Amino acid sequence: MAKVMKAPPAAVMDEPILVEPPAGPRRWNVQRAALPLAGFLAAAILPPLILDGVWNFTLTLALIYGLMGLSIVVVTGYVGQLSLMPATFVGVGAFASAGLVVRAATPFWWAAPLAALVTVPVALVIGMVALRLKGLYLAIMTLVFADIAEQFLFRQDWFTGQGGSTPAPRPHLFHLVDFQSDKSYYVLVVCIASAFLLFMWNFSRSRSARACFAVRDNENGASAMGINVAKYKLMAFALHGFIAGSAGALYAHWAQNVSAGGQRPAFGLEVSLAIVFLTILGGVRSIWGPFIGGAIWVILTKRLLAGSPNGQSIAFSIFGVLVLATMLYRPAGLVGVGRDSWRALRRRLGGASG
Amino acid sequence: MIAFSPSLLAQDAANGVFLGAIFALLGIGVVLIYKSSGVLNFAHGSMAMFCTYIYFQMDSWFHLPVIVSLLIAVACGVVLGAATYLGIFRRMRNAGLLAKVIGALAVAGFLQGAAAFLWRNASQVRPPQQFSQRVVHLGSVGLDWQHIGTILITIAAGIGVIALVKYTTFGVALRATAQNRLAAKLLGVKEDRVAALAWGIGGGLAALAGVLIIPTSALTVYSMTGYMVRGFVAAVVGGFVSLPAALIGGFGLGVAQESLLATSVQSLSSVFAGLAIVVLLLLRVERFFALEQELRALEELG
Amino acid sequence: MDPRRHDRPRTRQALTLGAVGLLLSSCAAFHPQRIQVASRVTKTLPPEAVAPGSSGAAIPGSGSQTVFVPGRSGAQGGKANYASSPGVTASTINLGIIVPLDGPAAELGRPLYRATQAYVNALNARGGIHGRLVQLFLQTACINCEDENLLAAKALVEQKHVFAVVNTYMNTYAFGAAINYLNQQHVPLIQGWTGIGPESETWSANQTPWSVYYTIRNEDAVEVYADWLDTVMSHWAQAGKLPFPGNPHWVATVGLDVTQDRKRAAEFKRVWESRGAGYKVVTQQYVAAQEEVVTRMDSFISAMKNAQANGAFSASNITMVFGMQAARRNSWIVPWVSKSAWGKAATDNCGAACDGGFTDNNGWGWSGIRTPQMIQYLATMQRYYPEGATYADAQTLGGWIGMMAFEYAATQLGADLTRPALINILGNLHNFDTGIGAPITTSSADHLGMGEMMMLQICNNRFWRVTGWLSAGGPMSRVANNGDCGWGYPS
Repeated sequence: MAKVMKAPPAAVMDEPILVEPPAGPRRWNVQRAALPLAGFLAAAILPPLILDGVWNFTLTLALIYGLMGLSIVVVTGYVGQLSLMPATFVGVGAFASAGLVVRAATPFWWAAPLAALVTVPVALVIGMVALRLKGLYLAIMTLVFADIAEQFLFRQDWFTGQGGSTPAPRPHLFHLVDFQSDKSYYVLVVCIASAFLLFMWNFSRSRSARACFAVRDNENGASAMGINVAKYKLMAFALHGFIAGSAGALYAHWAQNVSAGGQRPAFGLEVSLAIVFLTILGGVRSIWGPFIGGAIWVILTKRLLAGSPNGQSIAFSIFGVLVLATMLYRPAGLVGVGRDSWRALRRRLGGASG
Repeated sequence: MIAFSPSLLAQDAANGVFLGAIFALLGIGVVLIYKSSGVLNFAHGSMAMFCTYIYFQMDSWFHLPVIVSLLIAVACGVVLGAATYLGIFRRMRNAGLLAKVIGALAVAGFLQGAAAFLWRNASQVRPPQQFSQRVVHLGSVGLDWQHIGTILITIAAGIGVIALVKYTTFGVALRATAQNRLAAKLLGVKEDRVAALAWGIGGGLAALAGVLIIPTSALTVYSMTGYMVRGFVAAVVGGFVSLPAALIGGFGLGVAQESLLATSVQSLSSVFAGLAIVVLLLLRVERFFALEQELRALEELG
Repeated sequence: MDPRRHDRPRTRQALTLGAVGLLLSSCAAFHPQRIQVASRVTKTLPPEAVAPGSSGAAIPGSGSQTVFVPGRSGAQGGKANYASSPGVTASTINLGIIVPLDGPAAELGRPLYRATQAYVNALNARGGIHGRLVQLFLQTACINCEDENLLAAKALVEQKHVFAVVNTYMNTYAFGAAINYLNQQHVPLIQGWTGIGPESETWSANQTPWSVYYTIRNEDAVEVYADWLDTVMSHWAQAGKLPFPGNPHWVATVGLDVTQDRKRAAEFKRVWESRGAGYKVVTQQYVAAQEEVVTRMDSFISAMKNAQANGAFSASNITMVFGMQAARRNSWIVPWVSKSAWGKAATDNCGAACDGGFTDNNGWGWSGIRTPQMIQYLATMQRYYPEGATYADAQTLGGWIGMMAFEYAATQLGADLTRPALINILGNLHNFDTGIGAPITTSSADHLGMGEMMMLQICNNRFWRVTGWLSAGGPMSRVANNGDCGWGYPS
């Protein structure tokens, strides 16, 4: 047997893909807040100034998709429960918000949070299933539940509105500020997304998050350490539902109309998979990951390739390849790639100067 | 009491045996793949669809005889399956669940996009059936030769695969890897070769299923998704590890699903598969089929 | 040395090369078949065989009519054109179109786009509209993606600055946001019977003041189907060919399990059962998924047969095509009436089993009807899309109607081409005869406008015209025709 033994192929996800931030009280000071604040201001001010309405509209959708992906980060990235049905919760939030605004005359500022809250019990149903089923079986169940929701819930007129659709007008603030223009709605969505990011940043440094990571990495071990695994799993799904539901509400008012029906459903498997894929591509354990993935997804498929035939099938193929490459070589996603490059750059600069 | 009409029931059950054959074919392939590598092949339907497009291309472009086109399509399925394992899932042997599920889904997405692009000028096509459409009447029940041929082919393929796993070296190696990976490796089992072969057979079976069923309706990029889901149900019946159970489960699912059409709760028929999978999963059916070692080993696999 | 480091650069390079290669080859492989916009008339259209109004090929109309043949109605030469509207300059008019060109819906979107593009090319070849050449901007969107449809509409209006949007292939459920947007922005949306939305629901000056959609209202169409099926069944009864003569007015319906088919079937049941005692819809079958239409069709047909139905109404073309085959297999021979059995789907798939079935005129391109406009349509398609020229179907013909209406209205307006004026004409047509579909009469209450429909029959793999224009509640008279299959019963 002269054949040389080849080294075993690289083990995926062996290396830590997130340097866990230190737990403990978060320290706020001007220096540490400067960069994120500058980023937030840039994101909120530059596009409305520089770009036209359609691009602001597109970027708003990218942010909303990012928020949908953030819900996956919580449930899959932090607690390790694979959910393949985020679009279902997005749909529930969208219809709930539109329904509240149009049929119950609730102002958007109450309707959207309420819609997100309404999504939570729906998500907890799957959460309960997650207590009993693990891993692959849970993933299959999420697919089945998504299908059941598609077949029944999204076909009920009491839920979707007469004729399968409900209008969802833009909000206004005390009749002073109207969010009718795409630029103003963009700024609103930037603010809301930033709020979610802030919350998640905070959460990722909390003790609950460390418990979540323990559950994700070794469920039996965590349970042996005394962590209440059930509580964190349910919390994960509750957050999953809440964030996805909020994204749904924002989506409804972005389009000013929500609909379901037709032969391939609006909040069905394809959208769910797109959300999961873009989160993985961006980095499933990073709060920035879904926003990067969302920007790529939306700009690629909905803008750049929308003016040409076959653009969408090519986009999906490319995306499939990118996601595969991510899983094989860079499980930390684009955020990980960025982090590694930054570190390598710093090292090189440090080495040059030292 | 649910009302049903006996004459309709017989015909529906017969149709169910035909559809069940397709579910069984897909289910066996899924079980083989899962046993060898711990991957639930979400791309199974897409592989079947892709190879059926190749079958269609062979027929419409080269005008090859139907049997030759079928063999080429199945060969493509074998190659596609083996290549997917060797190129992608071989590297994921030690990866967690996320990598395997997302990897399979990504392959599915890629194949769908590629097929939509490659055959963009051929939509809603109907590749030729392999058997004639003349109907054979057995009592009050009528089946055409395509139905009968499919059932016979499935039974033959199923028995063949079960025999393969039971009696050949490959089968022994497969079962050894599934039960105790480390021991198997120490004993010299080349798990990559075993898995590649298993994936190849699985891919070939998927292609066969696609080629048998799709000509009876229409070929689109989404044609095989529904069938794949029912193939999963068949695989779940065997807890993802038992081949005979998957075979019988597939036929049983088909008969049950179609028989509901003859009852007064017709609309349950299309959701029956989903309900079945919920029940089966919650019952943890795999406990009945898998040996203790296999279960543990599979858990390690992810 | 870490063996992984050794592997990665090479495999990464290979992967990158592969992706780049795929991208490049894909760019090379697809190119929209767009002909340059001709600035000079280089070719005239082939001469028409029959002038409009002569008895040979024209369908007799009712009352005063505007018969429109493209290229015949406006003077050429742009005198004092000016930029009168967004999307209109002295020398160009920008139009937008949104269609799915990917996935299964591509087979619907692509013919529609090609027909529209061919029309625009021909229009420009004869000098445009008063010297203004038309530029067609394409946006693709997946048929069920509300966000993509809305983005496409916005891109067309705010970035490409189109004057109007034509011929979108829409699923109303997913196009609702875009329709609302276009109406809010006062951008006209003009199309012939494309799309699969519920045709009757939202198209009036109230709901969609800036959109017109030339097709027949769902309720009217269903009445004609019911009237015609009743007529056919009575002939079958007279000839003693009904399988269950004891209940000569019992029928069954079948369709896909989607909202528009369910609505159509429910409406059919209401209309049928209101015809009198003894009129009954004994069962209504819905096929769960399009892919399962054939594998399950036998059980649905068995159910219809066991319920002793003497006739069948199919809410959708595909259920008729596969249903009639299954009916033949199950020895259940009854008259069939269906909505829009598309030419290609029927003749490619059905064969002798579909002989005798009736459908409406959306597929009339196969029927051998040769009005001057149909001849012109075939010649133009032959020039620009030869592979599609041998067939016409609901998408291409519907698109043609939309463009004809646009050309007519824009030509009427001359140099002063504005959006309100355009939609004013398009929303107030009177007996506008395109030679391709029923005459169109729109008003503020009715932005659909077609009150009539023609029945065709499938026979020997062809479509035959068997009636004139039928309207809801009107006479169901048959037109003599050699070669068709009579009333459809086997002799």
